[in-house]
Amino acid sequence: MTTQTIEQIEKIDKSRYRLNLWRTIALVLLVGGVLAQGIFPENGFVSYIYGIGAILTCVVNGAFIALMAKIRREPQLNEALNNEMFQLYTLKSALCGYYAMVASGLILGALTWVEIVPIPAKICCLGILFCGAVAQAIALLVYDRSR
Amino acid sequence: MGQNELTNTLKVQRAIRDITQEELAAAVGVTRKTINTIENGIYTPSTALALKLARFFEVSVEEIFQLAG
Repeated sequence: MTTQTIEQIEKIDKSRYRLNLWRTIALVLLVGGVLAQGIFPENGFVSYIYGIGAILTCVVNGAFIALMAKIRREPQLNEALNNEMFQLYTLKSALCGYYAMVASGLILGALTWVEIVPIPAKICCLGILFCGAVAQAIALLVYDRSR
Repeated sequence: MGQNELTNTLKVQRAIRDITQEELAAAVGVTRKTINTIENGIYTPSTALALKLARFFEVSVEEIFQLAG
């Protein structure tokens, strides 16, 4: 492998991490905004959060898809960047997301069951999905951080 | 693939041959980050990767990886 390819791999690895960070921020804004709209439907400010999240999601995910396509196109990049460790981290972060969903489902379900806090079903569902998705995204960032 | 199951002499092997983490990573088809996490005992490589590393250094797998404790 040439020096240029080695440098390219490291550069793309860092780019992928940065894009995942921005995807996490966009996810929090987007889903958080939707959740906030459900809880505070009269509040106009939450619409801005949702709007910023939506735009950021489109832009960042577009860049991420383009980067992943570039990685998959070149066998050397694909072998190095989608190596066994990254695949393991992807699986472990998905597991984190799953457990977060279960935990948030139990908590929200318990709160609704004993009627401590009246939570609409839509908010419950969005809340569970939000916890799962954000937990997965943050877990991947933690596992894949620069060392 | 758990943590801290193995100790390794990867850093020593690299030092003997004067190879950077990037060069080793490129040679076995992973990233520098992967080599770093293996060296620091954070990640335990698969059998295939361990064999690739041993083949690269022209030593046996046991000379690079040992069971901890």
